[in-house]
Formats: sequence, C-alpha cells, structure tokens
Amino acid sequence: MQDTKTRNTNRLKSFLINLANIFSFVSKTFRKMFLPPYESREILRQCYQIGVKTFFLVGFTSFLVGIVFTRQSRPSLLEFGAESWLPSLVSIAIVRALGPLVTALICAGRVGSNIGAELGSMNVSEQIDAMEVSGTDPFRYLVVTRVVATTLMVPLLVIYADTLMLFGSFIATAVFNQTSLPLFFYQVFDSLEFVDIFSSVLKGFLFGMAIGLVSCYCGYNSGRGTVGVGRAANISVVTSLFLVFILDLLSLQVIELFR
Amino acid sequence: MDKNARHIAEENSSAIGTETVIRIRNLYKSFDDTPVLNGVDLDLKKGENLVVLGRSGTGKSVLIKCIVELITPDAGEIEVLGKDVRRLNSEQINALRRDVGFSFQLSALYDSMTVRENLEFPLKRNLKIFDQKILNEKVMNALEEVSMEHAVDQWPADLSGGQKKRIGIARTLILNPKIMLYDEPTAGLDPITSEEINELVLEVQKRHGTSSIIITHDLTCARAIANRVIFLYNGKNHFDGPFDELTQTQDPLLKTFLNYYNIEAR
Repeated sequence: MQDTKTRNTNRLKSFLINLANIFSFVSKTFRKMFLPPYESREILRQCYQIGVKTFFLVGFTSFLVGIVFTRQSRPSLLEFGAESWLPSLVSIAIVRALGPLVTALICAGRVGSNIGAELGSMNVSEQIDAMEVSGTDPFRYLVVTRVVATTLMVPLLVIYADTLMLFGSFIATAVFNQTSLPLFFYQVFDSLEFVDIFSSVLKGFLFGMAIGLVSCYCGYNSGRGTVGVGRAANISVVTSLFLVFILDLLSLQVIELFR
Repeated sequence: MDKNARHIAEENSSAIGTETVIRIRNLYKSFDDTPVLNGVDLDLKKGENLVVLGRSGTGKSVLIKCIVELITPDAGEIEVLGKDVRRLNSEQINALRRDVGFSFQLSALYDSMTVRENLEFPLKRNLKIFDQKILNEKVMNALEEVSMEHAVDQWPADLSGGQKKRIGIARTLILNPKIMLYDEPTAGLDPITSEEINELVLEVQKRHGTSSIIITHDLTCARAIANRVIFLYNGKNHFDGPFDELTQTQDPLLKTFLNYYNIEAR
C-alpha cells in the first residue's frame, strides 16, 4: 500500500518537474527569439533545410490528396444533382482543413523526426557542450533558429499545399466535367472568404511553432546513448502529431467566432 | 614510441613552474541525490601535465566539466588563472574558455560541418574573425600541428577515431589556450594510435607551454605523459603524487586498480 502511494507520489513529482521544464524551455525560447544577438545566417540555413527540402514531398502529396478527395466527393454530390458545387466544396474543405493538416502531418514526420534525432545525437556526442566551450550559446544557435524556421516555413508550405491540392482537384474535375482552369478557380475563390485563407495560414503558423518546439525539446533533452536518440525522434513525431490535432480543434473553435 | 613519449615528458617536466593555474577546493556535485564529487581538491601548476585516474563513474569527467562551467558544482571553490569561475558572468566565462581548451572524449566534431568549418567555428564565434584569408591561415596552421592538413575538406564521418581526436585537439588549439583539458584522449584507440596521441599531447605542451589535466583510466597513457597523478575514489582524492610513486604503492585499492591494468605494484 505504502509502495503504491510512494510510486504515485514519485510519478506526480516527475510529471510536475517535466511540466516545469517544458514551461522553462518554451519561455527561454521566446525570450531568446526576440532578444539580440540574432542568428540570421543559421535561421536562413534552417529555413532552407526545413522548407525547401520538404517542398517536393509536400507538393506531390498535396497534389495526390487533391485528386483523391475530389474523386471521392463527386459521387455523393452526383447523387443529389449537385455536381456543379464540387469546386466550392473541395475548396472550402482544402483551405479550411485539409491543406494545413496534411502539411503539418508531413512536417511532423519529416522535420520533427529530423530535428529530434539531430539534436539528440548532438547531445549524446557532446557536440552541444563543444559548442558552448567555443563561445556559442547552443540554445540560441540550435533551438531558437529551428523554432523560428519551422514557424516561418510551415505557413508558406500550407499556402503551397493548398494551391497544389486545388490544382489536383481541378485535374480530377476536368476528367469528368467540362471545365477550364479560370472557371474552376473563379468558383473556388467565389466560395472562399478572407477568414478561410487567414485561418489556413494561422494554422500553419501554430502547427509550425508546435512542431519546432516539441522536436527541439525532445532532442535537446534526449537521454544518453543511441536509445535516447531513437526515443527523442519517436517522441518528437508522436507528440507533434498529437499537438497538431489538438491545435486544429482549438483554432477551429476560435476561428468560428470570427466567421 | 613509448620511450619517445617519456623522453619528451622528462624534457617537459623541467619547464613546470611554481604558479598555480587551476586551484580547486572542496568540490561537491551530486546528480539526483547521488554524490559524484565528494570534496575534491586539485592544484595544477603552470606547464604541468596532471593525470586524473579513477574507475568509471568516479566523477573524473564531471570534475573537468566543472572547471569550464559546463556543469555547475553544488559547492566548492574553482579558481582558473586567478579567476573565481563561480562568480563570473556569461561573457567572462566565454573569455575564460578562450584560455582553457577542452578536448572531448568522443572528439565532438560537428557532423554537419567539414573539418575546415569545424575549425573556423570557434574563430568566428569566439574571436569574431571573419576574414577568409586569416581563417584559412589559422586553420591550416592548426591542422599542420596535428599532421592532418590533408583532411581539411573532409567530413567528420569519413575520419577514423584517431584522426577525429587529432582534429578535435586542433580545434581546441586554434584559440591558443593556456590550459588544456583532455577527457579520455586515448579511449577507444588502438595502442599505436594511443601512443601517437600521447606524443601529440606532449608536443602541444612543449610547443605552446600549456598546462594540462588529462582524464583517463589508461595507465599506459598516464605513465607516458604524467608529471603527477591524482587518483579519485568515491568522488574524493585517494592518491596524489608522481606516477612512479603510484606503482610502488602498498595501498590495496590502488594495487587492485594497477593489477587490473597489468601494471605491477612493486
């Protein structure tokens, strides 16, 4: 009985310590993000690593999702004789939900695991300590730059993904219906409001920040050894995905207030 | 090879000064309620090679990480080049780190940078040198010292363990430190490469007049390069004296340690 009580107390203690560590990590990131010196070169390098190198993957996946989603929505609309509503339906679904979500899932998998494993292995092989004795603040150089890069690049990738999904949707629509690219995009923009596009970008911003913070936290505080590196990569992806869905739900509630 | 290293060591021992460059008193450090350092005292004289011996987990690496503030001790005094390390702010710590080079156990070369970029990193970050001509010159000089000029554009992943150690030492030397801290310089190396690293440590001491603390449990390394040896046990000093005195000890704990490494306690 005493053992269970002690175990539970230890668990609670460990949970609270973790929570305090996360809070301290996040507040330190924001403090260092806005205070000089700024690591602008490293931020640009990270933007390239995170944004440009995910460009093809996001583009290709989004294009396919656009085709598949349109093909699967068409029969239901056809049943009600509402096939002409297809561009409106897909554009709302893509810009409001699918575009940001697909981009965030890809980035959580590719970028999150990459950051978690990279920082984890740097921690294990004492590269972070070496950076510190070289007169560099490793937190600013490794963590802040990556969080800034994911926060800036994911919204851009979301806009790119939205565009390619809509293009994929146009291809799928054009196979069965007589439509032109200008007409399709006229119908798309006719059904979209400013708040839809704004919410898409805002979600990208929030998802990017969450992926950056989570994966940097897991990598920077990874356990020792190769097991620690593997765990850091794994937890980065799982927690990022979990947070993306929670943020998606929360942002939906907030955006609904402005609609 | 071993004789050559010892010959250099004997030559270097005449250059040991009286000035204390590192002074540590009553150093304590615990991790999760487990004490690692339990009141360590240490003095390093100018030009001296001090080897810190001890079994794994006795706090040898923690001790030298405390010297450069990579780990903050729980209690105790650390004075480096006359400065109280525990009272320095981050800028003063960075300035001190220019004078204290740290060679890591796993070399700690940055995987995402070439050898050249690895060596340029401390110059750009700590000394704020950005002129490519000066950078090239300093990088090539440092690589020449460790006989690794040919590896300047290679990636760390393409180098052997011994080569990585050499580059790691070159990256430390590039800031012209007054004190060198070596964490297990021969760990994981074959006997011949270990001897080469021992000679390199002595060459560095001779050329730059550095004082060094070498953390190891390799007694061959200790015999080749030590002017003095400290043996840590349970986070405390258990022995402090020349290597020859260590081998003549009648202390059962030290005898067991020496026998384990096939060095006869006479």
